[in-house]
Amino acid sequence: MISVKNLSHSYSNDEKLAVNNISFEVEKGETFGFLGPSGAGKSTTQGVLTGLLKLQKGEVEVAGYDIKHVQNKRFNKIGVSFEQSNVYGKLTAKENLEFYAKLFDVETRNAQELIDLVGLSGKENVRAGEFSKGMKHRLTFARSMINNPELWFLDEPTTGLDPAIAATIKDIIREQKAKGTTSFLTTHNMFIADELCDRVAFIIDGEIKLIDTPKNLKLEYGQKLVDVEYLENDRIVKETFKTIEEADRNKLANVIKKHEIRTMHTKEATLEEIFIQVTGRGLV
Amino acid sequence: MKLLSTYLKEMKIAFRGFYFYIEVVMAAIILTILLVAVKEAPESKEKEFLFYDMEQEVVDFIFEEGIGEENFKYVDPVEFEVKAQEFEVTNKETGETETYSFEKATITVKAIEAYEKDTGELDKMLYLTENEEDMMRLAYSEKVIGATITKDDNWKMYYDYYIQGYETERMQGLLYILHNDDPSVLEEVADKQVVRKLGDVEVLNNRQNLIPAMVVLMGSMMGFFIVIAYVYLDKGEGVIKAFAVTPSAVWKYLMSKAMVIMTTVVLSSSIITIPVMGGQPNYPMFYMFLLISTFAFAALGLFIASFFDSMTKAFGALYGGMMVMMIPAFSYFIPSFDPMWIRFLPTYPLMQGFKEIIMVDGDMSYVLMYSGVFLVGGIILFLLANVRFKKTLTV
Amino acid sequence: MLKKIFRVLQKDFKSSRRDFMALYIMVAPILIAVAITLFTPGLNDTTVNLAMLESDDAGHIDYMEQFAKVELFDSVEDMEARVEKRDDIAALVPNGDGYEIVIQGNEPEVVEGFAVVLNSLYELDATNEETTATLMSFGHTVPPLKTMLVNMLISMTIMLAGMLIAISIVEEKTDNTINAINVTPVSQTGFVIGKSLFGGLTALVGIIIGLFITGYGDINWFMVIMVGISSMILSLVVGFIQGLSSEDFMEAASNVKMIMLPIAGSIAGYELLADNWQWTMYWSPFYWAYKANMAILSKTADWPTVLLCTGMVIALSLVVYLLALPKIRKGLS
Repeated sequence: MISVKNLSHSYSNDEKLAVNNISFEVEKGETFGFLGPSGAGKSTTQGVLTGLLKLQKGEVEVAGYDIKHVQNKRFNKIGVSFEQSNVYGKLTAKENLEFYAKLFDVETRNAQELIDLVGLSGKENVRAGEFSKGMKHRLTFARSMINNPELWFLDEPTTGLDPAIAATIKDIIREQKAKGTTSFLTTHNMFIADELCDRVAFIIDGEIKLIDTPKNLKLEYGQKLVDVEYLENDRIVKETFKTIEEADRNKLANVIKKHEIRTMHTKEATLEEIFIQVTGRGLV
Repeated sequence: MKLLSTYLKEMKIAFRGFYFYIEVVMAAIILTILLVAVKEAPESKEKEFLFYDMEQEVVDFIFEEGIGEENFKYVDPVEFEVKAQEFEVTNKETGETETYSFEKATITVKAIEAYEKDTGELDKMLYLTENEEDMMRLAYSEKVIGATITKDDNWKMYYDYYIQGYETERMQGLLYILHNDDPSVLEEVADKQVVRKLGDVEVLNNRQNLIPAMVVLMGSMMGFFIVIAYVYLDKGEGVIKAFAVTPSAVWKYLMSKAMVIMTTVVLSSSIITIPVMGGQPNYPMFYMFLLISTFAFAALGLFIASFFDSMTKAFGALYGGMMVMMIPAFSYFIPSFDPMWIRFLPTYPLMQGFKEIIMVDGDMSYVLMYSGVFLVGGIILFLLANVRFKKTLTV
Repeated sequence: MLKKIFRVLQKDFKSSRRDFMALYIMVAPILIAVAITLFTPGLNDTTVNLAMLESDDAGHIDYMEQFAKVELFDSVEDMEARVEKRDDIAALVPNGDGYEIVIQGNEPEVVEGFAVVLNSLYELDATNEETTATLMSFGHTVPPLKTMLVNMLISMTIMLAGMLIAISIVEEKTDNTINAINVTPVSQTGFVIGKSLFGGLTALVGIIIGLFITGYGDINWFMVIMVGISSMILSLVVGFIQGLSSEDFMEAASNVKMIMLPIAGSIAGYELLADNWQWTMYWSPFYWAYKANMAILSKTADWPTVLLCTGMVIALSLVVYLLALPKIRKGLS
């Protein structure tokens, strides 16, 4: 669905590159995550893929179209949910969606249905200018689905949303995935990436450091640990054991045998920890 | 269809905004001012202060014939409040300068209305003072010409003109010879001059004459400014990006902006023009010229807006552009100011074109020619704006 | 509070070099002043344009050139074609022993009048040698039109400053930086005053430079500064109100268009209304500012007049401010 080869981009048209010679592919039906801190090059990459930024160097194919040859009809297959909400303040939620639908040549979804889907029921006739930040974001998100996109670009889809709404958004993304929609998700939230993505790419300073599934990354880079709290001589002791090391396994067995266990948790490495390990930098 | 949808969406937004109603209200205010405060014939504000240094009977005799022929008419005396003054008067031949100093005073003068011989319309006001000093004071404070008139025993009149000092050499030269002969002699020769008019052109009256300037300055030209505000409003909301990721081309977005301005300008210009001009103008030409010129100005506005990323930055270019575009208004109202370079400013042919349109039997070939020029220019600017907008989109 | 206003002023000064705002406010009056200085000689010509035949009597041509701008043509057809052009010009066409005056028919009456008088004087062979006139001059070398234009320059600069202040406040609102100020020790009013002050001061400097360029260096500068400060207050109030009451750029643009009307109306009212109708303009602070500047520029101003005008500008600005206060408060919150 997306094929990127040797993509580079500079905002100042010189050697200072925001994106430096990156290559990757996204299969149809896949949810692909672009994970990296602010300024890593995520939005730049997405900008090139969506056509907002002109392709300077490299080869990019999106939804079957070579983006070097501008063809507006490719947007019939694409939906974009922007990080910054960009709806018309003076139009109501419904009017925003209905107008946007008219810009496409394909069959579009019902505006009310989308409004209900993102939890804005009852607000369809309220002007978007009066919405809270979260409501505007949901409307922007809803709008990105209006044309039943085959390829869906999601830029920080849950940023700034409360947990309940964020959960709704994640459910919608999963539903779309189940329907076969390919998603390109950019975020610096590793939980989202972990929950939703089939594969993630770590990008930092304009370069992709690695691409793999979250599971493989955890297996390769993660350390399997067990945290144990137990009573020893009426004192609570906390210890961590590495289950892949025999010495630790024996110690753990001993603790279980000899002491009263208060709590015991297995601990997997998070994507953030793996990111830091691989890149040497944090996600924020 | 997409263009139509986008246009209708823009009109919806415009109706829900302040701006649209301001346009209508402004047009109504301008119309009211035109109908109430602007007379069809300009009221002459010309005045002269004269001191006849001779017996009153002689003065009466001088004006007697004119009064009889209804070229002059005595009206009620007028009082002028004059502040304390200090000024110098220089004789232009001898170079001698005399300094005068006066206290604050109220000066009463006799007033005579002077009418045009042919039309009978009021030409100017003549104010006769009791003494030369009063004449000087009033000429100085009112910034108009004054004169002391004396006569010799042979009834030959002599004129000491008091001028401000900025009059051109040509004007001063004329004053020197104007009264070489008796006024009646000059009048007799002037009456014999043959004047031939090339056409039976109906002149626009004072009020009608303002319409082209109003339509251009408040209509077409404002479109240039307002379209930029529209674009920055959208830039602020970020909706251009949303538009850019649809199958609908960016040019349709830009065109819809221009179309909203064109709609608004048509409405406001109609409010101003129709009540004043009635059925006289060639309305099909009027609206065609208006739409094309507004489109061209809107295209210019879009092109300029594409170079700046904030309204504040764009504003300087806008303001400068608008000030330059207003210069032809000087030429329109002061016909003697007509340097060649002014004709290259787009508002010049616009004002002249609208003048032709609202006149009876105006020159439509001129209008058609400039319609073509504005259409081509507008299209070029629009295409350039489209390229620039696509180039300056960012994430 | 004054210290904090100064900090805001300082910050604005620093950011202005990137912001262009100060640049425009200062440069605009200078550019307009240069333009006025270049154009006004051409504006002052008070006679008529005449078309004559090149083959005409040289004496006649020379005579006319003393009093009018003469263009020469090869044939009568060329002259008539010239007359038919858009501007106002009369042709002196030989006709038998004399001349006929040819006009298009849509010129102002003064064009025909001038041509008739000039040709009559030529026929009477009126020359300076037999003059019965003496010219006494008051020594005003600056034409009134130039004074009017310079006064309009001042009004336009004040308007520009107000417009820019309005737009920059709207930008602060759109970017939400105005809310960031709400959580600092700087009061909202202090912030906006500090911001507006910058625009106003820049305008004043630009106007002063503009006055020097147009040759008004010898006017009473104390009076100029007094009127300038009061006009600046007016500009701040107008910009402030427009900026805070506008939700977005479209509203700001509409407000700007609205404000042009009282400004233009005040100038037109001062210039065109008869003395006994001037009172109809007394409601407008722009009128008083224009009136004061006119008196100062033409060097006829006295302190009572200047103080009255300045007082009216400030008082009316205050009235406008108080009337708009609820809207201002709403805009700041």
